[in-house]
Amino acid sequence: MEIAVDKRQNCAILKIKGDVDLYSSPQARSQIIALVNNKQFNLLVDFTDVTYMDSSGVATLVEALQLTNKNKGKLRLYKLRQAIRDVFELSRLDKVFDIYEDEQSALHGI
Amino acid sequence: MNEIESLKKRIVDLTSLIEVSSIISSTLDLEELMNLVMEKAQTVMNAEASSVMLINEETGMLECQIALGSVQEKVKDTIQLELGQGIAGWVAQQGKAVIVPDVDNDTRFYSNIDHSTGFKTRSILAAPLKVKDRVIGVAEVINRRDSQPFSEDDLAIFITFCRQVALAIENARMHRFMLDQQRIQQQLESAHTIQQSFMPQSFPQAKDDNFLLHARNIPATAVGGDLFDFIEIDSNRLGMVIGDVSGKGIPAALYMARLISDLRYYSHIHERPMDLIRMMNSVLFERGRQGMFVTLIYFLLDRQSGELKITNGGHLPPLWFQHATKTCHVVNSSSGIPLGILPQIELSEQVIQLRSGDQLLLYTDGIIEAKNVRGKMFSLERLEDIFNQDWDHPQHLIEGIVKQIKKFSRNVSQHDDITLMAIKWQ
Repeated sequence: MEIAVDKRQNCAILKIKGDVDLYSSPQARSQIIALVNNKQFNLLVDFTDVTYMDSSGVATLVEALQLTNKNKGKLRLYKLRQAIRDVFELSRLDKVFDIYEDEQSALHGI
Repeated sequence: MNEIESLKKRIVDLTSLIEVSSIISSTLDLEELMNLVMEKAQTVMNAEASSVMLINEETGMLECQIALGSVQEKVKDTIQLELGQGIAGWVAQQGKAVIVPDVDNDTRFYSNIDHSTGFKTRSILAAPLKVKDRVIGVAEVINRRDSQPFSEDDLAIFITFCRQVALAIENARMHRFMLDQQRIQQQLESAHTIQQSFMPQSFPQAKDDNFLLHARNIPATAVGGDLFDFIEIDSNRLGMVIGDVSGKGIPAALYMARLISDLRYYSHIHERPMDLIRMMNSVLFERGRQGMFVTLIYFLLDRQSGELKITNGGHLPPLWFQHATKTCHVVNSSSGIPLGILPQIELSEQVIQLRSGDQLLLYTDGIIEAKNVRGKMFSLERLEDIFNQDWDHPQHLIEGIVKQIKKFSRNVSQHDDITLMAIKWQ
């Protein structure tokens, strides 16, 4: 898994590439925590190249959501491929996270 | 030295080497072993002092493990060198032995150690400790007692010493590693047994044979985050629960252990499934760490009538086989979100009525996401096909599913915990 971080407006965009699972999610977690510690409370996650996400990966997003909520920021996800969207819908996680079609709509209103 | 004296010395050297071999095979205690061998080396080389420095694999620094001689206490456990620093650092970096007849004329010599200990180093014989082609440390003997520089003969015998020492160190390390592995394995086996004991080993029986129950949990590793439980609320009501904690292994197992205990406690205080699940969400949210959460579905069975009240916290929907129509369908109730994520959640309660011959199947995602060698998933459709076969007993149904999954995932290691629970209304 690789993560590239871009800054756009008042947001950090995390572009994740590869599988986010038990083995790679600690890396994602430490990058998210570093951003929040640097007072970056609006996080967008680009899922275009996320090939698989297990519940450890979801837990990392849950922690990011709790951290951003606590600091009155936003966590938004976009461009989820169908297989990942199905996993989210089956566990009702689509009701937990703000999910958008693309970067433009995710940035809107932040 | 005449020829007879030279031969006599050679005999002493070879005898020492044989003695070193017997020391090496006598103990697996690394420190004891290095001490004994270096004492022997020091005697044979007729040296005032000696040391063994090993490379710390985490820091890449040379650290003094053994120091013999007048200032040994000041050296051992305190001296650290970078690779390339000092004579020992040079030997570690180059992987070559060296004789330094006079350290004052060698720019590689690192004099700070002498300054801090008060020892006066004059000459050094240093050789790498090598396992195959990998340098694991450096051994040194310092200052011949007869004030002569170390000779090429000394070098040859010392290199042979060092080869044996390196091998012995590697053996002792392997032995320690295997003991650690064994200890971890034993702990995991105990943890597995303890965790399995949290879940029911036998299942509630119907007084008038009006229902049959079965469940099974197979963790992917020694311990896992899936759970199931049966809770006797009173003589007529039975709570049934299945859940899946995020993540795997020990963190998920510890979360699961606390969760089961909380569920048993709160299920007697909040008897309505919806109230219980809401309570569990609050407890888990307050206690939440690192985003961990659980998907959980709770059923309250009326043992007389077969009525089931269901509240779902983000868990996969159950499958319901209706005997009258011989059809299987997904109980797609309006589920809430998984528990422990948000402080407030919306939940609902659904009621279904089991009739004679009906079966209800609960499962975790390890079932439908089990993969075969081509990376294809077992899928909900396959599970439905198996479930749809009008099984006579939930135990046979669950054994049948497990058998099919094992067949499907042959030659693929189980990547997620698997849990199944089924009830048949007679």
